[in-house]
This record gives sequence, C-alpha cells and structure tokens, in this order.
Amino acid sequence: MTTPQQVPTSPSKSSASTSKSVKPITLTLPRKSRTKSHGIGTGGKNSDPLDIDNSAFEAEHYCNVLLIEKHLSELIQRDNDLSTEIRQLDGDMKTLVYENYNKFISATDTIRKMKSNVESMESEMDQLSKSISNISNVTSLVNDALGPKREKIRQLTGVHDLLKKIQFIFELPTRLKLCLDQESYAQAVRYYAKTSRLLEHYRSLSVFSSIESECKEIIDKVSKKIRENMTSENATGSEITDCIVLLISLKEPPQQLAKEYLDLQETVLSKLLVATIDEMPKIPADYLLKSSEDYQLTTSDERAIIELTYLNEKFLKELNKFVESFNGFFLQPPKECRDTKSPGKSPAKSPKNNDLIRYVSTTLDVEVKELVRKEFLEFIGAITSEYLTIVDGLLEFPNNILDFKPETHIKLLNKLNFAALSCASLSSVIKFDERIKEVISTWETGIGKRLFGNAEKELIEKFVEFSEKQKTKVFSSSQQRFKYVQTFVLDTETWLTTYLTKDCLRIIKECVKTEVPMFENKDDVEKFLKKIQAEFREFWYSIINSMMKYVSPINPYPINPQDPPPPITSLIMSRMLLDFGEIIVTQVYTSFSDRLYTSRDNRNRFAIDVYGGYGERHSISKELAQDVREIVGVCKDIAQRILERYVEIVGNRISMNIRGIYTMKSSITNLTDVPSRPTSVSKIWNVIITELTLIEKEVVMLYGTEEENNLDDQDSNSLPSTDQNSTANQDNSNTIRAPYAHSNSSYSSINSNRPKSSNPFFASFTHLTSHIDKLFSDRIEIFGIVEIGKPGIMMGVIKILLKAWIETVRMQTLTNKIFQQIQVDSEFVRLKLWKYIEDERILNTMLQELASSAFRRCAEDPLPLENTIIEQIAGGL
Amino acid sequence: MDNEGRSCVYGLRHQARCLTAVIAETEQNKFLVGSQTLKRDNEIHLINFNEDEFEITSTIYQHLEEVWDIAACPAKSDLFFTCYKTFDSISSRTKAKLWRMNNSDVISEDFEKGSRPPRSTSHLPLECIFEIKEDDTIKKVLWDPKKDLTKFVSIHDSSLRIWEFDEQMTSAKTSHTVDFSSMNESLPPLTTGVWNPHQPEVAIGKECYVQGLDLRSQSQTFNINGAHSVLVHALDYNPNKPYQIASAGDDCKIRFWDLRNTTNCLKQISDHTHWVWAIAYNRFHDQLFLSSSSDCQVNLQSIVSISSGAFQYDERENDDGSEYEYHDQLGKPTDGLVRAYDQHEDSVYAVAWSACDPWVFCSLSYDGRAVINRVPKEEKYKIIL
Repeated sequence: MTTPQQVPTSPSKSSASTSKSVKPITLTLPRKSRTKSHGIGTGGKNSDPLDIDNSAFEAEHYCNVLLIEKHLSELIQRDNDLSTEIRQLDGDMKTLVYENYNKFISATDTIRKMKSNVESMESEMDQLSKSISNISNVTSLVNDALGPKREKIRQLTGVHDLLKKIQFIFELPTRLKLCLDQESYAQAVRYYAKTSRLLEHYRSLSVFSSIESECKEIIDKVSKKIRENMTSENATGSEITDCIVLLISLKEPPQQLAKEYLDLQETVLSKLLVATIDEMPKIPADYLLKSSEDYQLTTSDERAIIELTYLNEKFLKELNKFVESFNGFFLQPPKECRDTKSPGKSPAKSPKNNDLIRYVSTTLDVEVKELVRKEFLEFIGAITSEYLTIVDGLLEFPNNILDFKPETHIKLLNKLNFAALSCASLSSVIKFDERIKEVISTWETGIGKRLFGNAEKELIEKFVEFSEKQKTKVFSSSQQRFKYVQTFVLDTETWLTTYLTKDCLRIIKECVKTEVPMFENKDDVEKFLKKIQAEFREFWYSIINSMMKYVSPINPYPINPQDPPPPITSLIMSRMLLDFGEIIVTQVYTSFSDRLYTSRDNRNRFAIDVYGGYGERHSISKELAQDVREIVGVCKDIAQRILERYVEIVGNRISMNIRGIYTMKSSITNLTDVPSRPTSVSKIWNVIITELTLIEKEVVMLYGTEEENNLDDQDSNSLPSTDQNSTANQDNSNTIRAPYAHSNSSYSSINSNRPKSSNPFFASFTHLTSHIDKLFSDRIEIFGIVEIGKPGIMMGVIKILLKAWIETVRMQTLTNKIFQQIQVDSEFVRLKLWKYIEDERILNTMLQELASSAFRRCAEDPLPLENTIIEQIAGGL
Repeated sequence: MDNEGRSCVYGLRHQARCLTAVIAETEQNKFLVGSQTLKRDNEIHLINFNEDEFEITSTIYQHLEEVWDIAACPAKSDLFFTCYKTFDSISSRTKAKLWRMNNSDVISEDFEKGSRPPRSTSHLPLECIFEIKEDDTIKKVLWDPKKDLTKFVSIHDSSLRIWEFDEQMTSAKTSHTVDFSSMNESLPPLTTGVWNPHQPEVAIGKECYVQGLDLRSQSQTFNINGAHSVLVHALDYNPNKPYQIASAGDDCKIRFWDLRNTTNCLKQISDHTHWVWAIAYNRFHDQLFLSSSSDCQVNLQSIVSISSGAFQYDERENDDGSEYEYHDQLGKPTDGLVRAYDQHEDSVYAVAWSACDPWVFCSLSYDGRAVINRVPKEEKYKIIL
C-alpha cells in the first residue's frame, strides 16, 4: 500500500485521522486546525503515539519509525518541514502572549479599585438598619394613641348618616309639597319611592307614621295631579307614558293602570292616526329633505314616499314606543327590583326620567295578565290594520298600468321593510314584520295580476268590439270585409305580443333592476320572479278561458240575453289560439326568459330548447320551459275546441234552413203550380250553398293561407280534367242512385207496369247491401273532432248539414214529387259540395243514406227520375 | 250469469221509432214497439224478454197505420195508446187510438210454440177502444203516472189537451185545451211532453224551451228559456226526486234542471255526437240514466251526484228495496258514462227501462232493431251493495 512517493510526504504530519501505523500519514491537513489541536491538546480521540498533534505523541518512537521507514531524502524533507512548523508555532505563541497581557493588566486595575470601595459599606448598612427600627417604634406609638379616636369618628359618621336620612324623611313632606307646588311630580315620586319602604317599616313609631300619613296625603295629591295631566286632552303619547311610569312607581294597582294606559293611548293613537292622515296630503314637498333623506323628489308621483315617511315618523314610531313601554310595564316578566335605591343618596344621582322606564315593571296575576294582553293585542291589531290600509292605499296601482313606475313603489316597500325592522317590539308582539312581508308579497302578486289582467281585459274587449262591428258594419264588398278581419287578427296578435314583451316586460324588468336593498337579496328576486311567473301562467289560462266562455253557448238563456257573438269570432279566436300555441307563447316566453332570467344568474341557468310550431328553436330558461310546454298544449287544445264550436254554430245555422222544407204543406202549394215533376233545385239550397261559400271564404281567410298554393294546384288539376271529373261523377252517381234503383225493383212486384231498373242485380239486395255497407263504413261522427284546416272545417259543417237533412226527411211523409225534388236537390248538393270535400266517401255514404230514407218515407210509389234529367235540372238546365 | 255483458237483439223487419215498456207489467220484462212503414201494414210488437232463458219472445198485433208514438197504460198491462199517421194524396193526419191487447191469445200461443223462440206469423188483431181525431196533429199521449185512470193528456202540434175518460173507459172527452199557437203561423210545433210523477204537472218541449203546465189551473209553472241551443227533443222527470227534470235536444247535450231554480242547470252531459232523441231515468235507481241519439249510440250514464241516492242511500221504493240487503257502501258509484252501447247501426230514436227488472232496458233504432241490454254487473253491485 505504501508507495515510495507517498511515504516521504506523510511522515511528520500523521494527520488528525486516526490511522494506525499501517496507514499512510497525510500531510494535507491545514495548518490552522493543527494549531487548534495544539491549543486544546487533549481533545484527541484515540491515543496515537505517531500522531504529532495527539497528546499521546511519543517523539522517540516517532523518530524511530521515521528513521526505519523513510529514505534519507524524505527524512531531510521531513526535517525541513518540522523546523518550519516549529518556527511558525513560536511566532503564534508570541502573538497570543502579547494579546493576553493587556487583559491581565486591566483586570488587576479593576480588582484594586473594588477593594478600596467595599471597605466603607459595612458601616453604612448598620446605620440604616438602626434608623428603620427606630421608625417602626415611633409608628406603633402613634397608632396606639389615635386608636380610640378613630372608633369614635366611625360611630359619629354612622349617626350622621342616620340623622341625614331622618332629616330627609322629616323634610320629606315639605319637599314633596315643594315639588307639588313646582309641579315637578317626577321628583316627588322619586323621593317618595325611595322613602316609602322605610316609612312603612317604621310605621309603628308615631313620628314616622305621622310623616307617612302626611306624605301619603301629598302623594295622593301628586298622583291625582299626574292623573289629571295624563287624562288631559293635550297629553301626548310620551307624556302619558311618563305619567304611567310615575304611577307605577307609586304602586298604584297595575291592572287598573294597564287599563287606563291602554284606553288613553288608544284614544291618543287613534287621534294621532287620523290627524296624520289629515295632514298627509298637506305635507310640504321638502319634508323629506328636512329629514335629511337623499332622495330627489320632484314629481308628484313620489309624494307617496313623502307621505309614508311622514306617517312612519309621526305615527308608527309612537305606536312602537307605546307597544314597547306597555309590554315592558305590564306584560314582561318582572325584572329584579332595581328601583330600590338607598334613600340616602342624593336625588341628583338617581336615574333620569327616561331611564326610569327601564326600571319600572309590575307584577300581574297570570290571569289578569292574559286578560290585559288580550285587550292590548286587540287594540294593536286593529290600529295596525288601519295603518296597513293606508299603506295599501299608497301602494295602489295607477289606472293605466302602463304609467306605473315601479321604482316609487319599490322605494315605498323598502321603507316599509325598514320600518318593520325598526319596530322590533311591534314585530315581536303582533308579528308586524310578517304583516309587512305579506303586504310586499301581495304587492308582488298584484303587479302581475294588474299587468296581465289588463291584457286579458283589453283582448276580450277587442273581441267584443269586433263582434259588435261585425253585426252592424256594412261592408261594400266581401273583399273589404275579409281584409278587415285579417287586419283585426294581425293587429290583435301584434298588440298582444308587444304589450307583453315591451310594456309588461319593461315594468317587471324595472322592478327587478331597481337598486334597492330589498331586491338586492337574490332569493327575494327569485321569489318575485316566481310570483310573476305564476301570474303569467294564470294569465294565459285566464285568456283561454275567457275566450272559451265568450263563444260557448249559455243555456238556459240569461234573462237579459245578449246577442251571441257572430260565428266568425269563434273562428278568429280559434285561429288566434292556434297562433298562440304555435308561435306567440313561445316567443313571449323567450323574450321573458332572455330579459329576466339570463341577466340574473348565468351560472345556474340551464336553457332548455323548445321547438316552436314551425320547428324553430328557442332556448328558454329551465324555470319557464315547463310552463311554455303546458300553455302551448292548452292553447292548441282550446283552439281545437273553439273551432269545433264554430263548426257547430255554423252547421246548426245552416241546418235550420232545411227544417220543414219538404213537408206536405209546402208540396201542396207547389202542386198547384207545376204538374208532375220538379223543374228546379229548391231555392233554399241555393241559399245554403251561398252560405257555405261564405263560410268557406271565412275559413280560407283564417286557415287557408298556407294552403293557397295547394289550392291553386288543385284548381289547376281539377279544371282541365272536367271530363275525368264528370266520369267520376258518373261513377258516384251510380253508387248514389243505387238504392233508388233497386228499391224500385224490389217493389216492382207491386207496380209491375213500372219499367225495370237498369241494375237488376243490385236490386234484390237493397236492404242487405245497405246494411252491409253500414257495417263496413266507419261510423260517422257528426259533431265530433274537427280537423284544423279548411277541408276539416268544411267537412264538419257539411256533415252536420247532411245529417240534419237525413233526420228531417225521416220525419216527413213525402209525395212522389217531393221525393223527386230531393233527388234533384241531392244531386245539386253533391255537385256543389264536391270541391269542399277531400274524402268524398263520407259525402256519398250520407247522400245514399238520404236517398234510402227519402225512398222509405215516400207515401206514394216513388218514381225516381232518370239520371239525365236529374243532372239537367241540378246542373241548372 | 254467463250472459253478463251480452245483449239480446230482436229485429222487427220494419222501420220503427217508438218504444215503451209495459209499465203495468211487473212480472215480466215486456216492451211495446210500433213499426213505421208507409208501404205495408204496420205492426205492434209485444216483446217479452225472459232473463233466465236469455231470449226474446214476441207477439205481433196488426196496426194498419204507421206508428209515431206509443204509450202503455200504467195501470193495466193490456191497454196502450198509439199515435199514428194517415195520409192521402195531399195531406197527412196524425191521430191516436186506445187499444186493448187480448192477453189470453198470447198465453196460448206461448204454450204452443214451446221453447223455440216464437214469432207469431199470424198477426193478432187489436181491439180499438176509441179514437182521438181532434186536431189531426196529435203527437203524443201521456198517461197519468200515478196510475189514475181518469185522465190523460194529448200533445198536438200547437196545443195540449186534457181528456177525461168516462167510467168504463170506453170514450173520452176534452176537458181543457191549452193553446200554444200564436199569430205567427210558422212557429215550430211542440216537440215532446212528459207528466210529472210527483204532482199534476206536464212539462212540454218546444223549440228551445221547456215549459211546465199545471193541469188543474192550466197555468205555467216554470219556463226554461233556452234549455238547449237548437231543439228540445226529450224530457223526463226524476221519478224519485221532485223538482228534477232532464232535457235533451239537438245540441247533443243532456241537461238536468232543478225546477225551483232554473237559472243554471244542475249538470250537463255531452257524450253524444248528434241529436239526442230519447232519455230515461231508471224508475228505481235514478242515478242510472239512459240516452239515445241519432249517432247510433245508447249511453248508460251514472248521475249519482244529483240523484236521490246521493244522500239517502237507503231510502228506496218498497217493491225494490225488499229484494236487497244493504251493506255498507263498498264501491261508491261515481258520475260518468257507465257504458256506451253501439250495437245499433242506425239512429236510435227510443229507449226504455223495463218496468219489471230495474236492470233491464231496451233501445230501438230506426232500422227496426230492438236491443235489450242489462246494466253491467259492477255498476249494479256498486248501487245495491
């Protein structure tokens, strides 16, 4: 391990590391550490005799080792090193000695000084202790001398105090009298209250008893005076309260006091309320400015705020004060008696008059207390209600709701809210705060009701007006009339939409936006919006119901029957409701949602997509989406029902025409004119067809707009194909006439002369086939569901007409001529109704039914006309 | 009862629009149907529905003219009135006759026929007691529902006559005539009438009105103006509850009225889709109500909320009450359509409850099909339990 290069560098500095002899001695250790080890010496760890820095260093041994191990050159090197080291260490030591020498010198000086000072101290201490013992002796002497005197002083002070008290008592009557004379009754009462217990205690002593009686006398007078004051006309509420405090202090019977107090305050407060109300309109406009409010009041609109402030200041405060004091005096559990003041204390120190209130209380029996409480609550309840009535008056909405400025009202409500907060005792006694909250919530509901109620009212008014006009107005042309109707529909719809989305929304928005603490609370805003939402929903329902009610029949007729609205009104309503359902409701709700719900709470808003009638997408906040769907559904439903109502009215009206046209009587008159067979279609049918055309126009006008194009197509289709049409007619007329045909033949046995019908095969199954047909044809609902759209409506009307025709014919007994007339009419109707009907099967089935009914009701042997003749006559020859 | 839910159909082979229960017959379910054809002789069918066998037997009587109305005597099962129409080339007349059926014939025939559903091929003759010709526009004859056989009422196009039988009931003479005609000739005729079972009063339907008429003083007792929007077609008094009347008409509605206050109807039913032609209270359980319409349907309604059963559940007619033991009300019946019967394929102009079994009723459609149905079991138990 020991290389020859390493060994010669290591020998002298065997290092601080604890290497044994085997280990090479390193010379890399810095000089300083070595000095340190030299200095401290024994700090080494293991004793190594070869370590030059170790305490166990053995020079001899070290030398030997060196001599044995090292080469000469190494040794020389080592020697050189050592000598340098030694020289260095010598220098170091010298420096150390020099440095410490100075310190030694100053230490010696100090010690010398101390020695000279301590010498005088001992004698001074002795003297001090001597003086102190002397002082203590003197002090005890003085103390002993003064002891008896001090005791005396203490006794004398006690006597003095007592005398003072007695003096006070003896003087009491005079003092009281003085007070009485000076009318400072409060002082008198205070004096008396302080002494009365004492006097009572020492009543046995004649001196005191006489004083007591004297005092009592005076105090009686005082109390009488107080009563007088209290009951005087001009006594204000606080004066009365003060008086009552005094009387309570005088230990007057509390029950009676409570009653008196209540009665007095009742009159005072009622008077005050009346006076305040009287004064309210007369308050100068700058009243509020005086009371340092920062509202800028300019318009008369905001007078309400002034008035409310005045009312609250004048009345509500008084009321609250009264409630507080009454509650404190009579109703609260008695506090520990704090009114026992030592009479010796000077009156100046006693609590001030106002503070006295807090200390006065009475004890009432539980039963009496309940009784008093009941009366008290009764009065408070009544007067609060009066107050709230006035408030309600202030919160009235203007006649024209659109002029309404929510800001004013919200300020009012805010004031009320504050008033409720400030009237703590009123709140605790009769839940005044809750009543105020109620007022606020009523207002919130009210605003929705007014806004939307107005819309409903106007809408219905518009309809009524329209109906009236329809009855009276004469239109130069149907074109003009239709234009009028169409503008009415459009105008009304636009008006409603604008009213709701502009005016109503503006006002509601203002309510929400107004920066008033009441609405700062997000919950409150949400509550408000919820109420509005509920009202809005209510509004739609109400509109729908009023419309429904407007067109639905009244049975029995009222005593003063009003003319029913013309049927077109129902058609318009139905159309409008359909529009509501398809577009308007969604539109309106969308703008509500956009303006009221987005701005508020973006985080929680989950928009829900609602698809309008035409597939367009609206995103509506979650809260409203449910309502929208519901209302859209209801609108469509009611639109359907009103439409059915329209069809019913119109159908019935048209059917009225055919009542009684085929009676024998009518035929008799005809008989004289014309011989055997009908020459033309019954006049009434022309009328009916004209009416149907009018109805169709009405329907097209309101329902046919989308189908206009299709209609044209249909026309273009049908027009050129007249041939085809006529062939179709041919087919149909066959099916229609079939019953006539075979009916004929089935009775041909009776009339064998009659030429046989062209269709003998059919003939034998008359009854059977018609019944089988019925089995397979769907049952036709007459007054049933009407499909929305022109064809559905027309079909509905026509079904009613035809069924009525069938039923009418069945009630008649027909002559042959009338039978033929019916044949002609039926063909005419078929030709005319063709275009209104999509599914001609129903028409055919019903006309067939008519034919067979007529055939059976013909008293003579029915002689059906030839098809060609019928067509001739029906086609207008 | 396997036959629950089934109905029994009887075909007349003629058109028909009038039907009545044989009210005096309380042993058997009997109905009278009059046919209405112009080209052949008409018939009166006495239908007898045997519940146990679930079959219909019938007896057919000759009746030359077409029958427009039929009214069975409430006291004697063999007597009935028919209103019929005769016509010549220029006009038609409606008259009425009181008929007597010969019962012995019927019985003997039933014996002969045995178990086969008998249908007499030979038409039995009816014995005509007398005829009412006056006015030629007679519409309807009403018997006194109190089974008092001294009076009857006839309803004409524009008047109402009160008649008095002679002692043997062989003739009758008009005691009073109430004229409804006015100067206006075109005024529509009276449509219907019904005799109040609680007091001598007749209600008549005319145009949109329902009017009451005291039979003693011939003065108007009530007037429901605009009871229906179009025409009043049928009326019926509640048999168990005075002052209640039902009306039905061309506006497809059935309305119930309290005659003491007619400013509003008690209830309205609008389950039909065309004119309602006939209505009938169940004579025993007036919460069951039938209506028939030209929409080919017969509806059985429960109107318990306005019936006598609504509050006095145990107070019933004696002849019916003894049959049942009343327990606590289990499933309480509720208002609403109990069942719609759609077996008819033509307008149903008449419907009637059996006089014998309170759960049996008959309806008649224009195509001459009489259908006998029974109240569904569940509803029946709801009422009697």
